[in-house]
Amino acid sequence: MSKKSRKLIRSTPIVPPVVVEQSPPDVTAAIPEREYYFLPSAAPEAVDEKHLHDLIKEWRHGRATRRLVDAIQDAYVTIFSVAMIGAMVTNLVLKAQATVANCGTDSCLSARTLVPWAALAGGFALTLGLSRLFGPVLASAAEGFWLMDAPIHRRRLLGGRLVLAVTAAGLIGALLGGLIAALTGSSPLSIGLWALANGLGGAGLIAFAAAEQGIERHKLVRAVQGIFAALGLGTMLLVVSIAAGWVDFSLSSDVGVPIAAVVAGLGLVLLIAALGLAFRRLDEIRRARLISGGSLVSGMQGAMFALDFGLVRDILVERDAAARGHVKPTKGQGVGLSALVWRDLQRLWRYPASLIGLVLSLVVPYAVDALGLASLNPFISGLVLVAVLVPFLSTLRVLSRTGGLARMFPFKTSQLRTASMVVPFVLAAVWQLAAIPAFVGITAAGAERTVIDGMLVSLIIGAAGLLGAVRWVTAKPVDFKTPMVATESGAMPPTLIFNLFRGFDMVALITAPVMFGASPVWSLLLAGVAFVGLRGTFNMDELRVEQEALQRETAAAKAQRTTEKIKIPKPGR
Amino acid sequence: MEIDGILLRETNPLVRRAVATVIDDLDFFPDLSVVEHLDLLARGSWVPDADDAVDEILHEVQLVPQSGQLPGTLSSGQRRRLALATAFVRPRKLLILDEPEQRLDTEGVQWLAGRLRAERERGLAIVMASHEPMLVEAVATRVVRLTGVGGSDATEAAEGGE
Repeated sequence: MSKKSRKLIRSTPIVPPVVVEQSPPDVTAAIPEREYYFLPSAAPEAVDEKHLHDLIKEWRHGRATRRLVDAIQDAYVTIFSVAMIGAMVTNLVLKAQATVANCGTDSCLSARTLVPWAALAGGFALTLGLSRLFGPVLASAAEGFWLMDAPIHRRRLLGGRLVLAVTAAGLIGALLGGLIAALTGSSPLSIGLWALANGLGGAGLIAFAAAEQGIERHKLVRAVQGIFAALGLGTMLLVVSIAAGWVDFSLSSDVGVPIAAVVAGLGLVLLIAALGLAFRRLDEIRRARLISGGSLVSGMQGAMFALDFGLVRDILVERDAAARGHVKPTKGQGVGLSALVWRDLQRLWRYPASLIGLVLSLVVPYAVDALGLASLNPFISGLVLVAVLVPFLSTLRVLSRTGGLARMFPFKTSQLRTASMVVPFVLAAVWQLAAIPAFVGITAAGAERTVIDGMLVSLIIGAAGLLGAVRWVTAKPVDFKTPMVATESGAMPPTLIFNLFRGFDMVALITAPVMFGASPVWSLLLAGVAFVGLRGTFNMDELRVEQEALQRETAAAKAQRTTEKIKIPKPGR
Repeated sequence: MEIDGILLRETNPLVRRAVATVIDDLDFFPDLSVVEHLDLLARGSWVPDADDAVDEILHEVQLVPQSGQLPGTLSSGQRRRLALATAFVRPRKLLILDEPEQRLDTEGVQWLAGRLRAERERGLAIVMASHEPMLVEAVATRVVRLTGVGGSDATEAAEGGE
């Protein structure tokens, strides 16, 4: 309260309250006669869902504190960056087109013909996977609570959302399909047809998934997704096999054009048929199913704002576990730290999908070598290994994301971390042994290394993949208490930016000497240093906590000494 | 602060071996079932006859029907009972509990009071913060009552004198 206000209050004369004689309230009049404990017999007034939707939209817009134009103005650095990256990608596409259009080898021609097919099948599998995960039709928890129970037609509220999902899938599919066709040096007609096939096919599949969502049927969508995933993988294997000379297979480059046209036509038919069916079934989608996708999106949005990809994965893992519900318990083995290692081994049998992913990822180093990108192979293969090793590090993830569970085990943090790395280490070791031929060189266009060099490079990539995965899962969430860095988009904690590169930085660091032609010993040394840091030998968080505790104790002891001190008065004269 | 002559550092393995805690930051492995959590903790702490110890505590916290469930599917009360079981299944000299009665029903609080009292009588040191007078009365030998706004005034009352 300001001085002026206080002065004003003091200067106001105090008026005694006026006492008004009131007659006692009429109790019977205060209780209204209620006749509507049950629903009225008259039909409820029809709700205009469109009006309701517009009303919600207006409220939301009314609460916005910034306009879109303001946000764009503030983010002009980002927009320039996106424009620059776009220009670089376009340049890359043009260069790749020029290079690939001139190729005459079997590997080049087979890649040009088959890669868009593989991308199409893989893209369709991904589209169905995402639509199964999120819905594809979803609603927020608030909408579920306030609107879905009301006497309204859900179709009219959710219809726009379905159209949005279908349109987004169509546009993204067309863009990526066209880009991949362009990268493989296809003609403009072919690029257009592949874009159409990917776009219409993707949109049709989203509509199909929405139609299945309406009747709570998942098996068919899962089966179609599996077929497309197998087709994509099979095609990629064929590309590698042809390039490596294991399979004698020639295919005319023109055959892709009619196939793309047929896929586009089928996609259009599917889109029309499934979209109509999906619209009709929108009224039947259960509220729980709608909210489930909405809560997943909001959880992931929150994690993405902090660029916490580990948390995004945690949300997906929790969701998967909740869907699974229960497991057949298995008895543990070993005691002490070996109990942790045994449990990790038992997980392999329980969740074999991760193991299958690891085995399938072995295609990558061979495919990259076959495509003549031997110089980039260590980095690309290292990144892929990071991605496929992350699921095996679930023990490490849980033990490092909060201190609660780690505190329950009578070991040092570094011991716990090392034990959690044993099974992933063995898997990475087996993977790198199986990948050695790819780094020695299997095709004329591939690497040209001696067996010893190939083994060393493979070993380095195994180490880079494992340490990258460890760094990724042990990433701490962004600390918003640290001093912020001023950016054009506002204040930002520095760790927010570094979070983007966690894991990938390890791969880049460890594989850099190999890629730039330096001695592999440098890579091994860097891997050793990274291991010492990542196993928690010098855990900075723990050191900080211990230092703070010591400071508190010293301060407490000092305070106690001060209170115990006997004050001796100055001698008087 | 020391425990058995060891400086009380959370990261010290000797302290981790001696102290069992149930506070809000306890996490669970999303892919391990209830019984597998207890089994892992018992084996990790070299508990002799780990299987028997796990069975016993599982019965005691009444989580036998949920033994195969993954933690994400447990109710908040069941999660609390699992958290308490993780502390009881491993060897300990000191038990630190932060409002252990949270999300437990009346029967659960009564069980907890009995269990903690028995633990105390067997020589276990317990430091507990609680809002449940019945639990405090049943278990505590020394009570520090925090009163006043923001807990700024503290009064101490000795009961039992142990």
